[in-house]
Amino acid sequence: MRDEQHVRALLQHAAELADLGPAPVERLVAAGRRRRRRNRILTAATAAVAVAAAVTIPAAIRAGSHAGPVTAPRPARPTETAAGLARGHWTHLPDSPLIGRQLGNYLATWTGRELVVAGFGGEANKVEGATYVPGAGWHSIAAIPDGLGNSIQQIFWAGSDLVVLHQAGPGPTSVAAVYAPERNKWSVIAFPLPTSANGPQLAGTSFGDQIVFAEAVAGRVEAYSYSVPARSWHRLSVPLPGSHKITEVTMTTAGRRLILLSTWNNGPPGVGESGSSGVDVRAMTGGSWRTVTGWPQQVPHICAQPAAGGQIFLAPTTTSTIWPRTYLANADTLTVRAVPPGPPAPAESGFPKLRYVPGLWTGAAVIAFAPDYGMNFGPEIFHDNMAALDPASGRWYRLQSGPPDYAMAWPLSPIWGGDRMYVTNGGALWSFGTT
Amino acid sequence: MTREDEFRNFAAARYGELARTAFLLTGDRGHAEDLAQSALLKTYLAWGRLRAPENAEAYARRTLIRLAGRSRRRRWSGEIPSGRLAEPVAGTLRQGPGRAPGPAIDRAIDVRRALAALPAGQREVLVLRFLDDRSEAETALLLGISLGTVKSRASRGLASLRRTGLLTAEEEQR
Repeated sequence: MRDEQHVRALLQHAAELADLGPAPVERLVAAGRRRRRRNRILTAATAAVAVAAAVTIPAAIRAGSHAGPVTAPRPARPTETAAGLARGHWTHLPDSPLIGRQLGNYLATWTGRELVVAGFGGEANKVEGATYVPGAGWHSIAAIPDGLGNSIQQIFWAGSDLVVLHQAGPGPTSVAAVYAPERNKWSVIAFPLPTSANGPQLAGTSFGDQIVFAEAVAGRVEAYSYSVPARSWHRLSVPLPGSHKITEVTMTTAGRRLILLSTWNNGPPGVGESGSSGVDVRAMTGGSWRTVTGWPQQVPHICAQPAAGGQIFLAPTTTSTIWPRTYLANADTLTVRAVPPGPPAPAESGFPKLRYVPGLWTGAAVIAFAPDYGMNFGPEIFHDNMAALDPASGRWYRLQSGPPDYAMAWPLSPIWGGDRMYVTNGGALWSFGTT
Repeated sequence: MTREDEFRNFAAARYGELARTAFLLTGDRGHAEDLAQSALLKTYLAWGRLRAPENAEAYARRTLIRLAGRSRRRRWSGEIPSGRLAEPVAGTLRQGPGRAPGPAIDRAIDVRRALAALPAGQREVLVLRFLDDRSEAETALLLGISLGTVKSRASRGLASLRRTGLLTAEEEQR
């Protein structure tokens, strides 16, 4: 019997699910009807907004198809508090030049004054990008050189340039491209980590004018930094217990401090067990590492988001819970405290109440999202309800319901952009804020 | 038959397949059921545009793959492949008369572990090619990758499974 037939038999056997109930057809139909009703209402509202925008959008926005970046400065505003966000509202912003491109893989980042979106796919099977400058609109950016692989893995803003990491296909390496907005030019750089086999596992973070990448390779941490001004790579040596078999790495930054969290598991492959797995935390300042203790250990993975306001938002995850415990770490002392559980979201007919799931740190508040039916992950959840937590008082505030999902098919993770939250699927763009 | 009735029939018929595919992609049963239901809900919303049953089948399958991929990539919400199997114990498999827990269940767990250890891209290709029985071209289309990438990932994934000894064990059992 050929290997392929063996594999077929093995997979069919391994995929068997005991006691899988019948499809919850009636609940799906009820949820679908409810969505359709809401979409019809919001479609009408959106059409009205679109007509108004077509009349009032300034020439700068209509000129958005012109190549070249826009660098209009934006006056800094204090970040929104939870109480302030309670007065916030959703705004449907102009569609990006990428709308309708059928790009299959989008990523976005906030540079400090503009939103950059890059997507891969379309008929041309290449990467295209656009930037959105609040108040000035969308502008296309130069096309990324062809031949850089078949998907975008990560995208970072490194102070002055944009760094996009590509999966290079079946080869052993990935490649990166650096975009300089001032020149509207891309350049390709070699990438030292063997990432193509484990692309999604690769961790990366912006660190001043550098990008740091790290990955668990053969139980150890391999880490490199890329300096945009010097256009050079440097290998980072991370001091970790030699007895720990590292399975995953996560990083974040706070000021000039780099924080690296490495999940280790000395148990059987793929199975985390109490006592044989945990999380090592290291902080690097000025090239020196120190050990951080007291951070959550009870979960196999930790996601950390860089945050302003002297806090680091930690979202430890479990494999199946709909309510992951989340934490805030003081960026100066690196002490950790738990985020109070969110209140139950309003029940929808026939569906249980679920607690709000924290997902985004604004610099002064935690925005949490109500899980949608059957969706316990990602921004698929945000169009129902949101709430914001004031970490100082522990008080939760209900926020205005989100945009309709019909406009936000395949949305990216919400991005906090200075004074508001942006949500895009590469084409449509919404923001949530008080102005 | 109304459109909703058509969807009901479709959902009832396809839910199990979608859940099983998602199970091998994610290694988490609860997440797999969520993904299958999410894919069906999106299929319901698109039902009017899909017209033919084969379109609905392809749409639901593609949606499931994309949702699984997105949940894996989305680090902030914690949906990262953990390599930790949800139910690495007896009882995950159907246990009818004459199917007592034993070597077969162990092998199923071994297979899931081996799949969890594979890079996600290879795992997706193997599941689509050999569980869903998709052609290389269909797999490329569903994953949005080139035919060559499908072939190389399948080749590498098979090679990895060979190294685990699972294929040999299967041969011996037969």
